[in-house]
Amino acid sequence: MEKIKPEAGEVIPWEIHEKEYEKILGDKEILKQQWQNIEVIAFRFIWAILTDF
Amino acid sequence: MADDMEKLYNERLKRYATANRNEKPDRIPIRPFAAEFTSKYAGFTSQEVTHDYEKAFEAVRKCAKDFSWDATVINMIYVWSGLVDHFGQKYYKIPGIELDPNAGFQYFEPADEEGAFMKEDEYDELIESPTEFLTNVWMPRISNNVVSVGEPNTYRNNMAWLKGGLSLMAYGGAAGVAVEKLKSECGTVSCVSGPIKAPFDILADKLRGFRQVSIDVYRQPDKVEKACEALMPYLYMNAKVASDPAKQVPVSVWLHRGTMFSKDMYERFFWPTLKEIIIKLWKEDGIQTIWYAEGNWDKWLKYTAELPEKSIIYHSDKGDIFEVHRQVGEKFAISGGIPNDLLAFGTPEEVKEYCKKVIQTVGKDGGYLMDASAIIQSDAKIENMKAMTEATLEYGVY
Repeated sequence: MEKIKPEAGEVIPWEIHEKEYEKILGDKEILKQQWQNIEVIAFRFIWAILTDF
Repeated sequence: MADDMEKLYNERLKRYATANRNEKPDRIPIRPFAAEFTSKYAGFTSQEVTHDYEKAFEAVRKCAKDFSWDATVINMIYVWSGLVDHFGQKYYKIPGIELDPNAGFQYFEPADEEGAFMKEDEYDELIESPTEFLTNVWMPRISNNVVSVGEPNTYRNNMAWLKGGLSLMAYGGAAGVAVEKLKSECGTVSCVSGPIKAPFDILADKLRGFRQVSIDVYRQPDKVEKACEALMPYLYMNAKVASDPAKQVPVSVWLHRGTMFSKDMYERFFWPTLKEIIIKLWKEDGIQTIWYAEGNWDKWLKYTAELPEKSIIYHSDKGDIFEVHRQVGEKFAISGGIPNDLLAFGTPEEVKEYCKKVIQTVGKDGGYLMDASAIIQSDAKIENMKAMTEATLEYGVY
């Protein structure tokens, strides 16, 4: 099984996802920023279930 | 927001923040952590406030207005059973379902190895990748709907993830509105932000269960220690991302099992990783922590005293609040200490007298916040809650 080993604050790191694009013709930072914004929310969901609910 | 309400809110925020920093405000802030008491007072059943968070928020607002609370939690009945229902968690008993509609919700911890949500030989997997372990192993075990990796996928599995995520988003959005309403309608400060659990408590509460982890500390102590270290950065980040961006409202740590072990075990398994989380939040992020010492933590006061000055607000439950004040009152603000049994069974005169004693000793130089010892449930008498407010307004002015 694939092991991702995400750090705190992420679930599928940008560095892994970035490699899944065949190419990026535009601004990579726009993609990265939006990816990471939702990463934090997904991280919080997993850990909130553990700590809050 | 009306000008007078904004003025009231700003006064209370200043009072709350000043006391939290162990300084002397204009008077002692009233900052109750009130749960089922709020539903009793507002005329709701426990089922209503557990399952309908808007009613829970409304009940808190009614209490905040009527009891002149400076700061409080927007909803101390923290388990919204709607999310539990959608995601399918197994470990809660919910009022109105398995419990009487007026009972408080209950957590059922795994009692044996067979029921444990993490097995004794799974430490390495947790240590290697905590978030993946939670997602792939722990969640399928705690949910009736989520399936393990490798099992055939199901419609219910897909819907559990979808509805679980949407539920948390819905609750988070509503909580933001509730914070604003508490401010604009009551002039009251939402007193707490992100949650911390000690890494060891997470192992004991939600992963292995206390009985199992009590065996692990003898049979595989190195793995328990490494698991606490592996969980630490994730629990730190979990608190940080849910904290107040303005850094005026502290996060809170709910302390559970640390008092049940020997000094050697506390020093090895419980204290180092919790200490590091709190110091990191304070030194790197400027975030204070409410040290909610459930039970009696007096025997560990010398360790707590190692934390940086002002980094915590020490909440005293069943400990001796006067001893807490003697030992750590110079370094940290202190809250609580008004016995819940006094609020449940005492008279208003007895409550006022006890509050006066705490105010005039623990609170004499500032750095004290009025609250019950433990979370206030439905057994607290309304007249005694009024007496707690009256005593603070009468004796707590500097």
